[in-house]
Amino acid sequence: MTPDYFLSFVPGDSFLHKLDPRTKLIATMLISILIFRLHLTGLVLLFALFMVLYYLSSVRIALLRNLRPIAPFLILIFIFQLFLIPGNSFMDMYGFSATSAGLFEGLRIVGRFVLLIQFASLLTATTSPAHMTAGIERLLRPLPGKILGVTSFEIATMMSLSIHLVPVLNRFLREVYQAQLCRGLGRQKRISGLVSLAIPLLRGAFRMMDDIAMGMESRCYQGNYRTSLFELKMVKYDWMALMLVFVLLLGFWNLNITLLPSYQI
Amino acid sequence: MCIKPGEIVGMTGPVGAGKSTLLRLLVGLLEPDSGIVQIDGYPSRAKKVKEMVGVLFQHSSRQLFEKTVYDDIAFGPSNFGFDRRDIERQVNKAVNIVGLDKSLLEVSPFGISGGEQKLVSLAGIIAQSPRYMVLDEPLAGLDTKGKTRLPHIIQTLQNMGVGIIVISHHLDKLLEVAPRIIYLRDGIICFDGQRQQYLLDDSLPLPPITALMKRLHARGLPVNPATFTVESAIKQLEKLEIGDVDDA
Repeated sequence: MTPDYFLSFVPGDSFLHKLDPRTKLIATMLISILIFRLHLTGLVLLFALFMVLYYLSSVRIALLRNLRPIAPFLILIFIFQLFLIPGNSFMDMYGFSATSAGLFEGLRIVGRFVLLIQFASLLTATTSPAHMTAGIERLLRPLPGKILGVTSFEIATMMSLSIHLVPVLNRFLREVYQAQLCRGLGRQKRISGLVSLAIPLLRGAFRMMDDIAMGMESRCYQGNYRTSLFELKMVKYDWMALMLVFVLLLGFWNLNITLLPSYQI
Repeated sequence: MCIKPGEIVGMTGPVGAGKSTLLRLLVGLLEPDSGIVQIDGYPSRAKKVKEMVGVLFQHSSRQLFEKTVYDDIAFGPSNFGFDRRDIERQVNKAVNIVGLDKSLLEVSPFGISGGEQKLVSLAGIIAQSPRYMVLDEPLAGLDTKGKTRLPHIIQTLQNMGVGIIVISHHLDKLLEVAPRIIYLRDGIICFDGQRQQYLLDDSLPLPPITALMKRLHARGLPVNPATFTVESAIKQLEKLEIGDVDDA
């Protein structure tokens, strides 16, 4: 099953789905840090780890489609690295020379972005928005909310509201689009066509937010502790998974293997 | 199912019966899985259809966006390439038909009431001078004045030869304006026929006043069981004599 939207949740009951959201969040963060430490060989190993997790998770995310939004940037970055890093040139084009150092540096940077996105999409695909919010809320709770002016509960509410309202806004936009289509949108005046969608959408969105806020306040929402509808509980597997990721982080931190031609792992 | 120019069809049915889907099929926003939708011989996806069929959507005030009410009413006609003189004439005609206050033309469409917004979007559609119109829940959000005004608007449009489909949950209002009724349930047309037949069919939902008159008729009172307006019910009941009631 492929999700409709970029980074969306796919229901399932694999072991990744069952892990506590906090475990997955922390693990993803640690892996992201690791991704920025690693060089080419390490990235290939990490990609292997990702593929293992991907098959274990039994979600089938569209791996390539996830990359589509940033593909142009990746290609640009790669080209810049390829041609602008000095070193042994192996190809000359229009006065620019592609260097092997540039090639590996380019692959490394692009590889980092690809891995970051894929791990993030694995996180969101196996964690429902409600669990994700609860996890973030719990992780942020030790922060001094009074000083920052916003509590972890408020952040959680904001997050879950914005996640839930994306499809609503999407449907809203489609409705407005159809209405304007019937009034002859797309025949003339391209710019005004855009305006004719944007203004009703923004207006509707603000209005909806206003209604939601009033509805919440009238039901006594005050932005502080609320009873959670499900309890988060770290079990044995969570600690084991975290330990594994931590060991991975420490193990790879200063490891120096040079299987692929690059300075470090 | 076939709708002629100058005909008024009332469409009703429970939530999820497929009324809005049918609406979208009729104006070519959706493509039918099987079968064909044709408007005056054009396939429903044709661009010309958008010009010929005007649609008032359920939440029509969401489609307003221009700086002034006048500009918003003129949005449709200017998209269809009318010249400026024509547009002005069309807008004025539309405003007259819906009975909108002329002083509103220069204000922002966001500063007026919900009922007025509904009328503005209706005027915007009339200004396109469509040959057919589909009105989805035109009564929702209208005040009493607007509600009594609506049958007149629909009547005027009919006299101009516009074929109209009115979709509504307000059975009594629907029966008032539409001589032909279509009842949808679970995506199937359960009933398609004249108002009088509809009222006599016991398997279909009826407005409360008709249900009452039917019960009275069954008790033996000389009233018309196919009554659907409160006014005519009052007239009939006033005519009754004490004896009639006692007999029943």
